[in-house]
Amino acid sequence: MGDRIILDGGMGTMLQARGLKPGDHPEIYGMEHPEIVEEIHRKYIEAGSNVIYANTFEANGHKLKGTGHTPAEVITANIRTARRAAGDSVKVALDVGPIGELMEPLGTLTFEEAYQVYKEMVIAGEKAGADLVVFETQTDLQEVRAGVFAARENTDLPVWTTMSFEESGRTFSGTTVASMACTLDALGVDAMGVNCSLGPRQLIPIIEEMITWTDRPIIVKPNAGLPDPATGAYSIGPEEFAQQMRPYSELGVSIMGGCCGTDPEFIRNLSEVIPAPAERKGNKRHGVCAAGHMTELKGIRVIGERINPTGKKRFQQALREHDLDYIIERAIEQADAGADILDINVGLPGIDEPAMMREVVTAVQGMVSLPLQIDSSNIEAIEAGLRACNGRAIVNSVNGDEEKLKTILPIVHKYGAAVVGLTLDENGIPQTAEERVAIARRIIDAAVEIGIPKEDVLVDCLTLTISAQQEQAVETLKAIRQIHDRMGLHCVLGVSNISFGLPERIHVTENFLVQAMTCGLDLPIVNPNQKEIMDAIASFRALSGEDLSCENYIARFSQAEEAPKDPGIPSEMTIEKAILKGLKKETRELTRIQLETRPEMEVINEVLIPALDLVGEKYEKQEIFLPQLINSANAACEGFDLIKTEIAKRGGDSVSKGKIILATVQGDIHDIGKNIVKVVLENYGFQVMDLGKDVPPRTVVETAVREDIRLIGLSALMTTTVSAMKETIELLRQSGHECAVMVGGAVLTEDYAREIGADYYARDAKASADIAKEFFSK
Amino acid sequence: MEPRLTELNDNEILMYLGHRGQEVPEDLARQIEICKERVMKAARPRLVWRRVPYAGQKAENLLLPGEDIGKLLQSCREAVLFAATLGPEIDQITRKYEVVDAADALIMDACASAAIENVCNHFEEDLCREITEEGKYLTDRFSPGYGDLPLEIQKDLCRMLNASRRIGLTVSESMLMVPCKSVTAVIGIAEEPQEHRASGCEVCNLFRTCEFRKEGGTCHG
Repeated sequence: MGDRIILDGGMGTMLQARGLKPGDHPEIYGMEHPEIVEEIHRKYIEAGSNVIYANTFEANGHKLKGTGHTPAEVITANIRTARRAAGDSVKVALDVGPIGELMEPLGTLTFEEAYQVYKEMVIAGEKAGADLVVFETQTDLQEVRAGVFAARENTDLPVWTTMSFEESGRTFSGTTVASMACTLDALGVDAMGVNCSLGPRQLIPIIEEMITWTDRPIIVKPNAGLPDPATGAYSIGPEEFAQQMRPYSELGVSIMGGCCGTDPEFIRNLSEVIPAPAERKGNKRHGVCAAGHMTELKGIRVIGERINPTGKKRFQQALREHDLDYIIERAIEQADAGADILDINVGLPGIDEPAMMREVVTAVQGMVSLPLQIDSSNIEAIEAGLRACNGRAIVNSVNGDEEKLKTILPIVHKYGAAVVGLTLDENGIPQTAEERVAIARRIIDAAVEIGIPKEDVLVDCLTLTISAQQEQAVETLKAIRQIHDRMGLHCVLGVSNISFGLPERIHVTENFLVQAMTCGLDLPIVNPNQKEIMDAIASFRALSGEDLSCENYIARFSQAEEAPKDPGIPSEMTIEKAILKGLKKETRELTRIQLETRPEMEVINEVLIPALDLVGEKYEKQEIFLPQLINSANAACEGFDLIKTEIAKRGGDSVSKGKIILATVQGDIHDIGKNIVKVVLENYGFQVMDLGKDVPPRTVVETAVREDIRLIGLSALMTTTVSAMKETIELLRQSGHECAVMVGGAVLTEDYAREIGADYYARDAKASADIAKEFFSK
Repeated sequence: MEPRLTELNDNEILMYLGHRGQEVPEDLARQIEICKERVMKAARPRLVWRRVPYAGQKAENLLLPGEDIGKLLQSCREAVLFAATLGPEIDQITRKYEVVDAADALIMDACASAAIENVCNHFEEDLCREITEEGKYLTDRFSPGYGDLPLEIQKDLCRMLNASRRIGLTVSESMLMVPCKSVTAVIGIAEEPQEHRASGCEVCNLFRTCEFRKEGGTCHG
């Protein structure tokens, strides 16, 4: 197609000028009036377009629902029309816009559902004769990923992707330019860029940023300036548009067109004015990312190790009980402590690791905007994690074992990830630095051979415990120095193992960490909650110059100087008072003191619960109001959590006064009310199985039967979703499973609850705890 | 008209939290302040609107069914359709606090409700200024789901505003808006002055100690 590709301009406004009413489906209109669409295509081709976008933007199964037309039918008709206009000299793109529902965790659309919607479109498009597929006007990187995989796995069409950004450099859903470019570059799309959004002038900084992260061809398809909010008219004309597009050639942009407000006149001016693109220069930047956050691999980047059940009883219990909140809290904690990347390991015997990996990756990314390191030895779990991961991930890990290289590297390549290469193989861990470097070379060769760039192999030279093999610490450091100095590669290392079995481990760990960073370790895997470790890293960054003008160092430690000394707990403080005032730290500490002399259950039944009862009473009498009730529940939670940890440590059963299912019903995504109820119930010692939001009736029934749970709490916020609540109750009754149902939510009343067949109406969180107490005392 | 978000009304936040005249201890007041700051930092208010002809309960070609809207707009020949959102960042950060601290999440949710109201109120003010200059008058704002105006028109209303493309606002199958803190509404433009609803308790000086509120009622019926 030559150096410079000219695209077409707007379609919607031209159709409206020819009779399409606002709010109608342009794609169906186009199917019914092919002559109108063909004429528009011809005008663009005459004006100089080399690629035209077929009238298929919203021809997806979701948007066409209820119209009586299928995507295949609408796409086929519109591609044929484009094809007729294009002949053989001009290319036809299957144009694919956003599905129109937001994806998890903001909305309810899952990756798999998005994939299926796009799959249907791309298959129809290829069959009808499209030359390529372009995903455009996208705002969610995850939705783009679903599209790219749908096209890759089901067609041979080249894939172009453009997203829409605001002037802030983010899309509506928070995807950054760097994250988009880095992720899609690694996935190997054929071209990428920006469409719609703003006018040409406003998009320049966005493209300047984008080209630093990719060497793929770049697409720019802006609007005709900015719209007038009241009338919708755009601000610049064809000549000015073309003039404003000129700087893009100098930046090396090779594919240009227009979006909203542009017509064939704009394209004619563009094709007359735009010269061949300049050559792109400069090295591509290198990083891993979440949709909303880039971790550039440059300087020290901390990988948090805390999401890992190995040797952690409480974490194992959370995995077994499917307590995702516990895991998410570990993610938030590490992010707040300064982790740049989070390692995710959910391997535990008896757990469906691929399913759990998918769930944890999705849940963590919904809360914490950090890139992830998928840590597993199970190939299905690795793939499940990579597929779910929105952004660019790291795989932990491969090693020099041929078999591992053969199975894992292709997955790493397919998903555009980076990979940790452990310098060991089927014969174990070599004892010398030289042998470890030799294995690293083997891994790199294998990676490069299948198309993974060598800088994406992050070499792990392995830490051995000095209390067992003291001479090995030096070998590890030597190997790091060689990998860093001679090969110029990134080094990753789990450091804490160095001090295993020693007293006051932190001193050895910290010292080893500093030595390793001096040798070239840049991706330490550590516990970011350990202050000494993060202090050492902050100091190292100040000394290496990475922390410019020591700004972060000063910010970190000047704060420490100002912080007042912890006054400790005043002697008149009791657990009861602490809970009443919602004091978390104090409640925890006082619970600890109680546990020294009393058994766990006694502390729960005679201290924590009576205190909560008192709070409940005050709430009933309206002496306090909701936020205070929840603050108290949160404080009590600290006490319970301490007890749970103690019990888990000695391998005992979890505390439970009865199991309860909580779910926000299908179609409903407002679950703050349900989450409040959960906190309160848990604090009364009930074990809550939280099924989350948008829960299908079937899932509720299946869980109730499988886990033999007799009390079910359902929440719905809107009149439109109460029907799903009714349906869930009916299905529960039909199943014959003996259970009681309590319901709550903004639109429900006592009568309404009875009408839909519920056993209890819970006015608020306190009422649901009362219901549970009554139910389980029967 | 640019979206404007200004200092939130503390009473409105307390009202959303179910406050009925209880004393607000100092540490709770501080907690609310912190939550308010988080919400103000995370909010990315956006709005989109169109002025369209109105006749026979149709705003352009969008049918607005129900007696209530019919009555409200009875003397109007034009209407403004609008949608506003605080953006997905608020949903994300509230969800994070649901895990970390449910009370903070609850308070942030209330702050966010006050914030989207704040954006809508400013839009109304700005619009009112423009319309007044033309010698015309605005009706109250009316949203799908109020009275007998069905929630189901939400989807078409958003489509007419191109809301997903313009401000990132989508409507789910069950008519819920995503991002959550969003509002869609219709405002009529009339040739003669319009009656307006009484303002809520949150603007009253007696809010915190009002005896009516303690009983769950209001002084204006």
